[in-house]
Amino acid sequence: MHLDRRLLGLARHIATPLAGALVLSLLGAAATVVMAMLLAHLLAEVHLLGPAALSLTPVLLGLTVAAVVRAASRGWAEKLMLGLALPIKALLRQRLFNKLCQLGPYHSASFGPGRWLTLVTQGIEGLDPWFCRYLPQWLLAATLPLLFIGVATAYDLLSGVILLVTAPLIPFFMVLIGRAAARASQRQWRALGRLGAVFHDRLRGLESLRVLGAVERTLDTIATTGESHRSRTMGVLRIAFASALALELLANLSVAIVAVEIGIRLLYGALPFESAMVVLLLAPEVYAPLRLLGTHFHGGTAGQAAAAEAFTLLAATPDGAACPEATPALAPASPFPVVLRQVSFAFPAPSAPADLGAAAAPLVLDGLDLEVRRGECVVVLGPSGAGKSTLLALLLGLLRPSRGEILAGGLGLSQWPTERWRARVAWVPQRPHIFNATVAENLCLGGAPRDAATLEAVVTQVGLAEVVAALPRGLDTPLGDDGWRLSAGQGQRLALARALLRDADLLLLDEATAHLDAESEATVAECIAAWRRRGAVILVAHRLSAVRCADRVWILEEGRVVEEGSVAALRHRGGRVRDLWEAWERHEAEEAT
Amino acid sequence: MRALGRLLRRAAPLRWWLVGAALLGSATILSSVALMGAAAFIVATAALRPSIAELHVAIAGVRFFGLARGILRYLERLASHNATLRFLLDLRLWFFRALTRRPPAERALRSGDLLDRWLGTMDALESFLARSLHAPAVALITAVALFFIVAAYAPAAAWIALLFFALSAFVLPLLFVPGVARRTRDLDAARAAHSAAWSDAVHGLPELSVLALEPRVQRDMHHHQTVMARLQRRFARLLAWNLAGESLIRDLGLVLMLALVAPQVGSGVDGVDLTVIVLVYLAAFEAVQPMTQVAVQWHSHAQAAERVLEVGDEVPQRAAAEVILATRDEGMDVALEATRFTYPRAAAPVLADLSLRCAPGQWVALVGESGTGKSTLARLLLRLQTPQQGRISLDGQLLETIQDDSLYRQVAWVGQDTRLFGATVAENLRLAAPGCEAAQVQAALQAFGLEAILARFPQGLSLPLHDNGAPLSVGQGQRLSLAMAVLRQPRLLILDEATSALDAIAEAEVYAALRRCLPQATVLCITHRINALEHFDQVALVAQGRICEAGDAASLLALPHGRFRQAWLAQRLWS
Repeated sequence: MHLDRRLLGLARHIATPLAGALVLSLLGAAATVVMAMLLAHLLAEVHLLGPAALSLTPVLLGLTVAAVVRAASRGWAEKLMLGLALPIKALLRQRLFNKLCQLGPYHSASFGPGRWLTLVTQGIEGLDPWFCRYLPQWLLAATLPLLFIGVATAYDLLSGVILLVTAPLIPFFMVLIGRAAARASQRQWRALGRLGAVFHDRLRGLESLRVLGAVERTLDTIATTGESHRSRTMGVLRIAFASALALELLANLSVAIVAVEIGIRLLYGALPFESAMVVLLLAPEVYAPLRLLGTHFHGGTAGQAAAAEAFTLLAATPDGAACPEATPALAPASPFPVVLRQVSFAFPAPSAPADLGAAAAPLVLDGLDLEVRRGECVVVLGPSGAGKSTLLALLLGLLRPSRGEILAGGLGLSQWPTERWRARVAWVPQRPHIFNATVAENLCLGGAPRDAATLEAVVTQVGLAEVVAALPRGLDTPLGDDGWRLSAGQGQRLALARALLRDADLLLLDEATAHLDAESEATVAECIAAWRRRGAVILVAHRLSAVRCADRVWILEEGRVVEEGSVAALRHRGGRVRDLWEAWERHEAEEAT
Repeated sequence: MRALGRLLRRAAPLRWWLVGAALLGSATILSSVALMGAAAFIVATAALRPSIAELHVAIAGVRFFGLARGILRYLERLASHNATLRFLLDLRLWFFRALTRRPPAERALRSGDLLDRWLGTMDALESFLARSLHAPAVALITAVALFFIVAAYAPAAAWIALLFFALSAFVLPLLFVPGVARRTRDLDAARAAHSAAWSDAVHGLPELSVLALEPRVQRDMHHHQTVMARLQRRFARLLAWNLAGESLIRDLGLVLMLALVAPQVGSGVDGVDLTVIVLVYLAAFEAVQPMTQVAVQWHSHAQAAERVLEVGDEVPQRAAAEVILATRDEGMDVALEATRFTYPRAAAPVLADLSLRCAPGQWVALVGESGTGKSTLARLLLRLQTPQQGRISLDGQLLETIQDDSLYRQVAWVGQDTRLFGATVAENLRLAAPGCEAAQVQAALQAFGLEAILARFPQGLSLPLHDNGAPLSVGQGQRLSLAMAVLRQPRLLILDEATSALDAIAEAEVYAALRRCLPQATVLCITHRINALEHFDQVALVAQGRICEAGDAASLLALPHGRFRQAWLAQRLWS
C-alpha cells in the first residue's frame, strides 16, 4: 500500500494537474456535503412537520445547483486524472531513447531488442493505472474521508468518532490480509503465468509439433494441465479475495453500526433527526474512497513492475567501449591517410549487473598497424568472426580502441567531431536494416531528399532497377515489417545505393557481396572502382573473388594481420594467398579456353 | 458485433456459472440497497419515537445485510473468475486447434511478434465475461429490483427512479460507444506507427548512429508521441463527460423524485417512505459505475473477438488427401520438379524452377549462401508451405495427396525452425516418439553422446528445459533434437544446419551415428560446411532459386568454373 519512491519522484512533473484534480475532487466532495445537508434538511422538515412546513423550490434549486457543481467538478477532475500519465510516459520514452543512443549498438544488443521494444511500447503504457488511478486515489483516500468525518463530527460527535476509528481499519486490514494473500497468489499467478508460457511455447513450436505428429497429444496435455491449474488458481483466489471480503465487511458493518447507534439515540431524543440524516448520508461516502483504492491497487502494482524495468535500463552505464563525446578540434580537410597505430581491442568485462555489457573476451584485435591512402581499395580477408566487423566499427567511431590509436588526416579519431567524421564515412553493414519507409526514403536516409532522376540513376548503378520496377509503386513502395520484403542480396544492394548517395570519402563495406551472384558482384565491383576516384574503399570479405578489385590485401586471423601487401607482392611472397591465387588463376585460364 | 455474438456462443457451456455470477452480483448490490433502506427506516422511524420493538426487525436487517453483502460479493467474484478461467482455457484450446488447421503459409506462425500480438488479443478478452457481460446483466436486474422496491413505497416515484437509472446505466454509455470506437481506432493506428518507429530505432541502431539520424528519429518519435497524447486526451474528455453525466442524471432524478413525492407526504406516502426511497435510490446507483468501462471496452472486445475468431474461419478444403504412404524398409524417394515459391509480399521468388531428385537411401547435401531458399525447400517438402508451381512427389505420390498422419510418421525434421519445448528432456523425447521403450531411448541418447551430458545433471532425464533449450548448450540441444528424430525411425530425415554448433569432429560422429541408427533412410542435409561432404552421395548447390550444380562432391570440384569450387576454395582458405 506504499507509493514507490522513484515513481513519486517522477510525479513532480505532474504536480500542477495532480493538485488541480485533488482540489476539484475536494470541491466535488464539498458539493456532496452540501447536497447531504440540503437533503437532510428537506427530509427532516417534511417528515417531522409535513410538506407545508417549507417551500420546496429553493431547496430543490439548491440541490440542483449542488448537483451541477458536483458533476462538473468530478468530470473535470476525471479529465485531469486521466491525463496525468501522459507527460510521464513521454518523458520516460525520451529518456529511454537517449539512453539507447548513448549505450550504442554494441551495448544495447545485450539487452535484446525484444526487451527494449516490449518496455517502450507496452511496458510504459502500464504506467497509466499507477499515475491516473492509484496515485490520485491514494491521495484522495487520505483526504476525502477526513472531510466527511469532519462534517459528520460537526453534526454528531459520537458518530464522527466511530467513523474516525473504523475508517483506518480498512487499509490496515487490507494490507495485513493482502500481504499474506499476495504471497500465496503471487506463487499461483506465476504458475498460471507458466500455463500461459507453456501455451505460448507450444504455439511457437506449432510447426515442430505438426511434423512430429504431436498436435493432438499436446492439446490433451494443455487441457489437463489447464484444468488442474484452474482449480489450483481458484483455491488461491479464495484466499486472495478474503482481503476484499474483510474490507467489505468492515465498511458495511461500520455503516450498520452507525445506523443502529443513531437510531437508538434518536429513539431517546438524544439526537436531532436532521443531524442523524446527514451522518447517515455521509457514512458510505467515508468508506467509498478507501474501497476505490483497493480496486486500483492491482493496476498500481503492475505499473510499478513496468517502471522498475524502465529504471533498470535507464541506470545502465556505457561500458567504455563506445566512443565518448569527442573534444572538438578543427577537422582536417581530408581524412586521409587513415592510420591504425598499434590498435588493440577487447570488449570490456561487464561492469555492474550481470546482464549489462558483453562478456569479457580475449583480444578481438591485437596490435594492428595499418594504413589506407586516398584512391586505394583495401580488402580485409579473414575467417568469419568478429575481428573484421569490429575493425570497421572502430573505424566508424562506434567503438574505441582499448590500446593504440586511429588517425585520420593526421588528427586522432577521438578528436574529430563525431558528426564530421561520420559524414566522411559511408558504411554498408553486413545485415543492413531496412527501415519502415518507402524505397526512396530508405535510399536518402541521413541526407537531403533527392529527386527521382538521381535515385533512379543510383538504383540502376547497383543493379536494382528491375527489382524496383517490379514493385507496385516503384520508388514509393513502402518497405519494412508491414511493407514489402527484400531478399538479403537486394537489401545489400540497397544499402550500397544508400552509401553511394552520400557525400563521403571513405567507403566501408562489410561482406557486401555475400548474397550476390557473379553478375551482381561485377556490378558492385564497378561501383567500388568508381568510388576510388572519390576516396578510398575498405572491403571486408571472406570470398577470394573480392580480391580482384583490391590494391592491397590485409589478411586478418585471430585479430592479427598475418599477411599484408599488394596482391602482386603477396602472390610472390608465398603462403596461403599464393596457393589460392594459383588455383584461382588455373581455373581463370580454364574458363578462357 | 457479430464476432461478440459468436464469442458468446463459445461461452454457452458456462451459462449457468454466468447466470449465477450475475445473480450474486445483483444480490450484492441489492444487499447494499437493503442495508441503506433498513438504515433509513430505522432513522426515520426512530425520529417518531416509537417503542424500540418496532425497530428490532430493521436493526437485525441492517446487520444481516451488512454481512450478506460482503459474503455475496466474495461469492460473486469467485463465480466470475471461475467462469473466466474456464472460458479462457477453452478459447486457448480452440485457438490452438484452429491454428493447426489453417493453411501453413500464415506469416504469424513464423513471426514471434505477430504471435505475441495474437496472444495479447486473447488476453484482452479476459475481461469480456467478467465485465462486459456481467455488468449489464447486474445493472438490468438491479433496475428491475429498484423499480419494485420503490413502487412498494411510492408508486409514482418508481417510474422516475427506473427512468433515470436506465438513462445513466444504459442510454448514456450507449451514446458514447461510437465516439469510443472511433477514438480507439485512431489510437491503435497511432500506437502502431509509434511502435514501428521504435522498432526501427532498436533494430537499426547501428545505421542510426553512423548516419547521425538520432535527431530526426527523435523528432519522429516525438511527433508520434504527441499524436498519441492528443488522442488519449480526447478519450479522457469523453470519459469525463460520461462520468459527469452519470453523476448529474442520478442527482436530477433525485430532485425530480423529491419534487414529486415530498408534497404527497401525509396523504398516501409518509416521511419514512420518502426517506427510505431516497436512500434506496442513491444506493442502487452503485450498479451503474462499471457501465462506463463496458462502453469503453466494447469496441476493443469486438475487435479482439474478430481477430481471434477469424482463425477458425472457413478454410478452403484441400483436395482429398487420402493417400497413405506404405511403410517400407528402404528410404523415401524424393522428387521436386520445376518448383517455384514466393513468400507473400516478397519482391522476388525465393525458389524459381527448382528440380531435385533424391534416390531412396541417398544422403544429399544442399549447400549455398544464406537466403537462397534451402530452408524453404525443406519447408516445402514438409508441407509447411505450398509451392505456387511445380510438383513434389514422395515415393512417386504427389505431396498434396498424402495424408498428414502417414506423411509425418515417416518424416523427421531437425533444424533452424524446430525447437525443443519448455518441458523436461523426457517429455520432449516422449513428444517425439510416444510409444518408445526405455531401451531404445537409452540407445539413441548414447549414440549422440547425450548419456554423458545428462549424467552431469542431477535430474538426468527429468531435467527441465527452458524454451530456448537452456541449461543445455546449443550444441547439446542439437544432439537431443537429433536423438528425438532418430527415435521416430523415419524414412526421410531432413536436417537444416542441425550440426551448426558442433565442431568438425563432433559432426563426423553425429553423421556416423545417423548412419548406424538409420541405415536405410534418405537424408537431406542443409549445411554450409562444405568441407565435410565426404559423407554425402550427392551435393546440390542452390543459387538464385535453382539447383545450379548437382552431383557428387568430387565431380563438382572438378567443374571448371564452378561456384561450388569457388566456395570450397574460400572455405579451405580458413581451415
